[in-house]
Amino acid sequence: MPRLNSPKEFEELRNKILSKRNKNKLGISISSGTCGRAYGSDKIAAEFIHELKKQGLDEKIDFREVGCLGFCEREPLVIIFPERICYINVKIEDVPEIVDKTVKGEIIDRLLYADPVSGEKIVHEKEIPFYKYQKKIVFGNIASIDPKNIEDYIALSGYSALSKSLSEMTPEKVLEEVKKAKLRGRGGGGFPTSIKWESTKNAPGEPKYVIVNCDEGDPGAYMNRGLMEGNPHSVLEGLIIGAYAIGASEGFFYIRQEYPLAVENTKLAIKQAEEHGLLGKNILGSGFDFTVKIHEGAGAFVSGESSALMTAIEGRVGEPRPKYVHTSEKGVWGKPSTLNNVETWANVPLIINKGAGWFNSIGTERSKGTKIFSLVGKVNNTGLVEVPLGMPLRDIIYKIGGGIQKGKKFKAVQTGGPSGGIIPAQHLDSPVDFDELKKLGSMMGSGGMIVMDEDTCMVDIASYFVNFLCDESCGKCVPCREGLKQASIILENIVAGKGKAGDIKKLADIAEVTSVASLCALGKTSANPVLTTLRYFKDEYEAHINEKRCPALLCKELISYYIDPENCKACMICFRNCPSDAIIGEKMKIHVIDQSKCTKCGTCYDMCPPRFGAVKKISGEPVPPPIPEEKRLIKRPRKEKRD
Amino acid sequence: MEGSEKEIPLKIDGLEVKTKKGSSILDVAKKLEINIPTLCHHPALEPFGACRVCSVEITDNRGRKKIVTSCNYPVSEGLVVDTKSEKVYRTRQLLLELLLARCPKVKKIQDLAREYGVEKPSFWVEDPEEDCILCGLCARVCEELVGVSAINFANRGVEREVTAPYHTISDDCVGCGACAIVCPTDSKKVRINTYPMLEEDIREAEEQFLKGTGDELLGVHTEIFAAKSSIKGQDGGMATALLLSGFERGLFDAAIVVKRTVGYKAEAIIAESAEEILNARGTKYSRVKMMSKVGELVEKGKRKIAIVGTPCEVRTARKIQQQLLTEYPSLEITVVGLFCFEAFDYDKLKEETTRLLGVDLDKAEKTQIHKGKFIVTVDGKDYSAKVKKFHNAIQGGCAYCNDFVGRLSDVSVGSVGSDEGYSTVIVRSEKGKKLLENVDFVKGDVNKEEIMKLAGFKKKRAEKNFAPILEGAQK
Repeated sequence: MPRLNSPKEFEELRNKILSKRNKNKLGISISSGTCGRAYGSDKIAAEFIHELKKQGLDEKIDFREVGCLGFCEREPLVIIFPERICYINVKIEDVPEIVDKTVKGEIIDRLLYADPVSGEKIVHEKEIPFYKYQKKIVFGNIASIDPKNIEDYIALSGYSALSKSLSEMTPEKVLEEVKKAKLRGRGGGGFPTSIKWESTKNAPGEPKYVIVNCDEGDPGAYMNRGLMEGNPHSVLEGLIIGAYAIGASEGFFYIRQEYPLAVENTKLAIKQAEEHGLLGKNILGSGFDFTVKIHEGAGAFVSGESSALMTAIEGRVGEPRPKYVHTSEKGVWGKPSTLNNVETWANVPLIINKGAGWFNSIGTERSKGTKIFSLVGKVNNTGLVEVPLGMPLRDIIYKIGGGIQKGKKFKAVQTGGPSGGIIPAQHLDSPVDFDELKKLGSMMGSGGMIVMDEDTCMVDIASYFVNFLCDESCGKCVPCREGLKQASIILENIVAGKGKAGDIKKLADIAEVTSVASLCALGKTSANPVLTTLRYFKDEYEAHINEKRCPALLCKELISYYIDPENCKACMICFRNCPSDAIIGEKMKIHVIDQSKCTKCGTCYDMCPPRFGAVKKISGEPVPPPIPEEKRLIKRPRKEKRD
Repeated sequence: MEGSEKEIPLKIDGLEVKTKKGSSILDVAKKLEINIPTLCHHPALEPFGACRVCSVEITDNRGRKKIVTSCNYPVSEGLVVDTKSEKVYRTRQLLLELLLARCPKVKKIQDLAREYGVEKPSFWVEDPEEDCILCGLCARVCEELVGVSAINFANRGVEREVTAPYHTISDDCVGCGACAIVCPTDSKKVRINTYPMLEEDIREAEEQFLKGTGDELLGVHTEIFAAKSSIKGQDGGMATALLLSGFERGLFDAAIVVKRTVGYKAEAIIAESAEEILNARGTKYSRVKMMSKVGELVEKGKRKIAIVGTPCEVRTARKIQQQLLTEYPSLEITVVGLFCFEAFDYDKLKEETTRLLGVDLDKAEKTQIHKGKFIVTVDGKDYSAKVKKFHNAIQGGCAYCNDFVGRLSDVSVGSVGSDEGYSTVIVRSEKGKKLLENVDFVKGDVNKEEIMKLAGFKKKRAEKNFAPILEGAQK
């Protein structure tokens, strides 16, 4: 590929690509991000290629192995173009049939999504509730883009925003457009992107750096991975445009090493962009030079914090440093550095192409555009979802997420990762945007959304997150390191039934100091899991401490299993399955749990047929004494039943 | 100062002051004699902001209040600082309570916590003997000033600790003691696998291992003379002769010596025969990884070891010996010290040699320092330049070392003070004397003043470099 030396040459290339394409051509795309591959999508893709060749259809049908399409619950997903028919849970055996039916214009009913309530089959992707309520702009083209092929991206207006910026806009104009779009950082606090850019632009010092933060580390969050794997060029294009606006000559992709596919696809994207003259010296003949390197992270959560990330790029241990002077002024090697999240950068080309006005038409007053969330936990449709900012939590969880698994009750949703907070049911109708989440004591973070049902114990959850942070704190400053350590001990004691009066106050005291006195944002927000659970679920803490009761019936040390003699049918199932021989029972004799042997593993509870429901979990009350021996015999001879 | 354009006005505890741009709040408070506690701060080091006890409350020009650390918060115009607000008090109080729970027996923390009303921590105490608050001063002084990085943080989060790499004997520690000097809690941590040799440590080692008359610059000794052996080594070949003699007489059964490897690179090896010792003769002007070999030999069951090294290696060897003696009372280490003013970092030296002399150090047949000149012999031809010109290649740590003669060795050997072809020998112990007994050598005249001049110069340099470290240390 010869280098493109002007916007005109770029336009010619684009037209050439488009002229070879036909919108109505048949196409098959398989969702093949990391999650799809976990389900074997790469093998299925190979089978598709083989089958198309075999049937002599490789010219007639375009096949693409694309990035993650978000609907993790139903992977591997296959989309049939041009209609966008959606097949779910596709298996390797389905391949010949899909190829065959596609060419015949037929639909395979068996592979369609069925509405969980009506059972009605849904043909098209956009009609499936999971997709129907989403607004995919950043994730929009994933199904049509082979991330390893720059032409796919260019065909869908890719790099035209860069071409436009370099040929029609001054750097100031680009910055002005981003400012007008009111774009806010997608990685954490929602800081206005244009202010960061401006600050780096105006700070003295050369070279200036721009950085993509793809050190996604929140438990259950993977939207950055999805984007880097599925559409790396969109992030790269955003970065180049940002560099142009800021006056940066060097850029970094900081990608965690645990994302090998993201690293692979990004490497290739950089190489292709360089070959096309979209990156490197004299980009599109504009005189603007910009180079990019990939820095692979080494597995530290804290390296997602901007100053720690920059320290890691310098080759040192990724630990945060004081930011009283912002990294936008003194960042990597003390030079002005703008760091934005993957998703923030990916929004830039869209804003340049479609204008700030368009961007402002999506979202709320102070939070514009869309946001991608990792919707996980006890929700029916887990996956990556992109919604306009301001969508109520309820819509995300119920309309898109399909509600809570097994018909259980919604209890809370955790947003923003370990540094975020827990939002209870009474706030389900709150709109999701940067400021609303903050008001509720949580935050947007990078977009993790963990849904919890009624069986979730909030003290246990706080304990989980605090333990996570104990491991992931860098340990540099006292409040974060020592505060978390003490908080984790207190919480462990509470869930173990050893909570003491005064524990809640101690937790609150620690939380208060860590949130004001820690060195970095990770430390400052490390108290959020404790603060929000205390704010909304203090009664659960009190029950654990004062009554030694776990209201969610989860904390092992505080619950007992008990067989209700009224319901026990002496079926022997629990008896046979108890791994510690704690169940005293025989045929026709009501079973009893020997509490001294019971390890509270819950097997009996899970095994007892739901129609009996004889095994109960109890907490905060003594286990009723076993029924007298003489009453254990069930007076129901088998023969009677047969009559 | 007053009225100067670069002065920034701010308010601290109600006092209106003007100060230099770039100052920290702590700098200003110190000038005004406002007391702000600090634990991880040292004026000679970059601010770190880890302990947070220097927290103060500021109000910015938009009226927002927040807690910041005074050690690294730069002053700005119109800044209002409160160092004594209720919030500041409570913040410091809890931080100190957390630290007291970490280090309940450390007096410094006890005293400071008491000032904030905390007598006993209400939190869980993991290890009542813990004495390290993880302020990082040891690691930072070693990296930022000494330039060695022998000690640093390891692990993450609540597992964070201070240690030498891989929890094993440090090959890099020069025993300068900077870490122990700056440690605010006198933690034991800096003495595990790293070997700070403070004045009292040196005295103790002298009493334990040496015998003779004390001298501030030459160290404890019984004899000092010039000597020429029959071995062709550096100068009089005495270091090699001593080793061979000791080896033949069974004074030790393994010696850790430094041998040239590829080109002029050097590496510590364990010599277990006369031949191996002979192979290692000749001076190498760079420091190599040596100390871990001591541990290696002891683990192999060796109890009679010799080590030949520069003063920094001599003193760390002595400290290791002291520590190992508690576990292996039969251990005997014979230490042969080499005079050393400073050592080079091999890679940097190679660069500088190419730059200054136009020759490749890897091709050198011999290198020597003679009369202030660094001489490299290639293909029989000498190339030289003043040693001073090679200052860029000097290894980290040398500027903080105050020992020229290897004062803790059993016997020191060097070229300074003797005529060409002779080595200066300083005998410091019974063991040193014994080592000399069977060596054939010719005695010559020694110029003590020459040795003392260099030793004095080295000591002064170290003292000058240590002054700011000592001055800022909180004890």
